[in-house]
Amino acid sequence: MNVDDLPFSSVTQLGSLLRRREISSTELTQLYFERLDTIGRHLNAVVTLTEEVAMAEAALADSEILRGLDRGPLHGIPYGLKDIVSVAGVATSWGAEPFRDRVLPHDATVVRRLRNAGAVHVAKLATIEFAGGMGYDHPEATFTGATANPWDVSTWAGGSSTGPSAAVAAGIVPFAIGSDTSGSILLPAAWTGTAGLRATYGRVSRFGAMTLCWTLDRLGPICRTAEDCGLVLEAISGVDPQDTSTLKATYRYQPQRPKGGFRIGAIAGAAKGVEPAIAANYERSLALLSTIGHVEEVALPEFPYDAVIDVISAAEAFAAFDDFLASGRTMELAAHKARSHRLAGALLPAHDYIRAQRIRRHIATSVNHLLSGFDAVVAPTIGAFAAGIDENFEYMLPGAFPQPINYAGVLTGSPTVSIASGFSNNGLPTSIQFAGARLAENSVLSAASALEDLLGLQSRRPPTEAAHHATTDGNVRKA
Amino acid sequence: MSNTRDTFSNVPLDSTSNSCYPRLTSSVTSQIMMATESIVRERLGEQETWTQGDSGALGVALRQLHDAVEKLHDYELENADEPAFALEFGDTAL
Repeated sequence: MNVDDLPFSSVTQLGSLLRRREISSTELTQLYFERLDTIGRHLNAVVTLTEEVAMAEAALADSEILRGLDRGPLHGIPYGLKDIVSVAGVATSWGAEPFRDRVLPHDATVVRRLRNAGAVHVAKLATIEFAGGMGYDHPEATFTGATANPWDVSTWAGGSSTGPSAAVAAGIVPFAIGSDTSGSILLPAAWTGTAGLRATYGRVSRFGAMTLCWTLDRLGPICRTAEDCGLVLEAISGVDPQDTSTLKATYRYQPQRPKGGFRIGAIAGAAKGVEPAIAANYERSLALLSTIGHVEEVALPEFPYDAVIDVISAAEAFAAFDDFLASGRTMELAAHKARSHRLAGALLPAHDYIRAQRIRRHIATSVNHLLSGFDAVVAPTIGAFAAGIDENFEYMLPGAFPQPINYAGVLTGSPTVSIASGFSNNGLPTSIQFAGARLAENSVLSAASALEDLLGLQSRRPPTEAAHHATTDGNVRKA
Repeated sequence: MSNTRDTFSNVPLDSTSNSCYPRLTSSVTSQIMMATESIVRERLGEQETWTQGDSGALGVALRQLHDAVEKLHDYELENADEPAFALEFGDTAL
């Protein structure tokens, strides 16, 4: 392997190098630290480097591998965490100024599981403050400053999992853990050309992660490939007594190639009104998928998806942050909108929240039934290119989702993975999402992985690789 | 969807489900916003920090919430023939 390709290797490739002892976890960790400290600073993707603990974890992984102890595909692989996930002894800021130095006493369940899998935690990564939960309309809505998109640093990486997506795209961590309440993994994955998986609700324990909306929040991986998403999900999933929403069903990543080919549903009208380059790459993806399966057009059932999400999130987010809102410290947040936006939730009658949850039940049943008929249902993840890093993006987003497949998946609790579908002439990634029935992660990941193989985009490198030019000073600190 | 008005309080009532309770309708949004702003100012004790922009953002949020609630009520009205279903919150429903 060319040494320049090393930082952009998949988890599978890095694991192979580690097992053949062509590289050590210590060397790999040092490599990524150097990149986190340079490219990561330039992008504003990093909040805290955890060098001391990481080097100890890497040394342990090396000694275990040397002794023949194999903890699985993540053994010795460095990773980053969105800074809403707690690590004992390391600051967990939620991207918010009032909490920038707060240290929580416990490890999140995902952190414990990744440690058990032998992964090496190297950094807390940037997030929009409160994972966007207080409302925001500008990339600057975090105390670390706007996170730049490695494909064009004049554009934003997307939120709210800004750091994880930018870091993976720039090859400064091989994988990262993000969170998604209504699109916060899929959107930044789409804009950075990474693979982002929002797994079935309940697959991954949220214990130790910031709560935004109890019935919507999910943690999930952002990786270089769909296959990597499956490997990481296997390591972090499973029942957890500390999060009663977790499912008992065990997840094992098992790639599938159906005998008769993949059954793909393409959302009717999904490319209508989106950016021409996004539509063109989507149509090309459909053509490629038709060579490995059967593609047919499908329509989403009609529901007031956006209204249900608005009401549920208003009620649950207000309940989650009632004390913080009452403290008046919203005035310290970076987003002006965040100062008062969430207060509206205080005025929502309980019966309207219950009404929304009842309609949600209809949605979940109908949408899951539709998804069950396919290995994956596809659509462009988002119909607009990455927003400018200095611009208010709220105006562009309503038209960027011509079909509510994202919201349908949010409310159904079903899995969706977003992968790159190509690039525009100006070098920005375009994306396609694969949505599946609940618990059908292997189907959607397999279909997405098959398309990745056909597209062959993995060798493409962002401009940040050639020019480590600075856009800001960053706010990186060492734990 | 029509609303009747309570003679005594001039608050729009929800006539769509024979409810006698006020709903979060557009006509009460400004009243609610002013009341909320007043409460927030009092709770925070920092009146000087609350700006017109904050009031504006709260007003937008309330209007969005009102629109969302309207949509849910409309959906229920249009699907009145749907069989009733048990209430299960997200954690267990999923």
